[in-house]
Amino acid sequence: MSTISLSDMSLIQALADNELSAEQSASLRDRFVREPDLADAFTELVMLRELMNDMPVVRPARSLRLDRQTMQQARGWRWLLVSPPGGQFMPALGLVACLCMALLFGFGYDQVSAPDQIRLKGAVSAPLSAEAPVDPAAATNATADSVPLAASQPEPSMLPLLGVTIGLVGTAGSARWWLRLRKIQRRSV
Amino acid sequence: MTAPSEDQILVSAALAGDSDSFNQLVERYQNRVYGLCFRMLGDADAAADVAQDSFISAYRHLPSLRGEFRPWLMRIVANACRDVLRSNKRHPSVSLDTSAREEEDSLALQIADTNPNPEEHLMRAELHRTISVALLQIPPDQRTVVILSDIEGMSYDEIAIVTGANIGTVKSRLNRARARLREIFVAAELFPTVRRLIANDEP
Repeated sequence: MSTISLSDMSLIQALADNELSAEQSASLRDRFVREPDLADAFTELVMLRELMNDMPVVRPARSLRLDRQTMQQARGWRWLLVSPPGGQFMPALGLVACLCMALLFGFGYDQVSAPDQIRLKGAVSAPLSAEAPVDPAAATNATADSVPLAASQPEPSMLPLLGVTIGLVGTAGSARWWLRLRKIQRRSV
Repeated sequence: MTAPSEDQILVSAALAGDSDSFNQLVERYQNRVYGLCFRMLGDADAAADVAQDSFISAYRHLPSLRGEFRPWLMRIVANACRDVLRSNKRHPSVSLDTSAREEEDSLALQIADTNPNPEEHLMRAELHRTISVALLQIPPDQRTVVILSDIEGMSYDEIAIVTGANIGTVKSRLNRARARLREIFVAAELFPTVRRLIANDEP
């Protein structure tokens, strides 16, 4: 049994796949004259490819069609975004989501009153008045408590921008997908 | 702009809610899908199950399809076969008593030959059986590549998409797979039979 090196095998494979230049092919064919083992290996490789190519088609014993129930169960959340009725209204829903985000974070946050903002930051809920007894220790604790909570929230001025960006990206993405789907469907009619 | 292929039309119709369109895709590709599963796994029942699961998975993820349907589907199938082979390796479910002959019989039963000459028919059937069994003896990643290239007739680019490997890796795996198959064929002294068959084919 002849032994052909892996590099020679890759060369004859490249020749069989028409991937060698004319010069390389000629050089390899010259070697075939001097090295009959290599020529045999090339012939066998070509035969092997033809044999594989001639392999008969194998068919499943049963049809692999999916029934409606299986399809219904297989539908994931992505299907809601593309198939009717949800998919038809997706760009409009995206736009509405964008406006809601803008309203909620853009305008709604600015409407919060000053005492509410203080409460949000974890300060004492007692009304601030000149008559209220001032406990320096409590005031210190309140300030200390408010720091981590305030630090964990994003900057209020960034929220509207973030909301609008998410909404716009969602709207643009869904509109692009919807338009592509409609275009293919129009051309297929 | 290029016109949408028939696959794209069927995919968009399926996404628009026409379930029959997806079943048309199933009918179009079920032999290829089953063929890949069968040649990868060497077991008819397991191949049918994996092929069915692959179509269900393809349907589930259809909304995320970008590009051509065929390589995308074959990638799902190749991954499913790889998972089954890995799982079988970890938890072998086939009895150790199962002989190679049984595997060969299982393969032979699947392959129909329409050659009218009985002797040649037998020779070809034996040859195809030997190839199928030889395929099972090479590593799965090499097996996938050689099946897709030499049986399914896919290009290197398509195979790279299906396997998720780059073209250099595809070529290297193909090279190793063919070298290994050639070794098996030489050891089994099959090439003289092939030469005889080719000589019979020539006028």
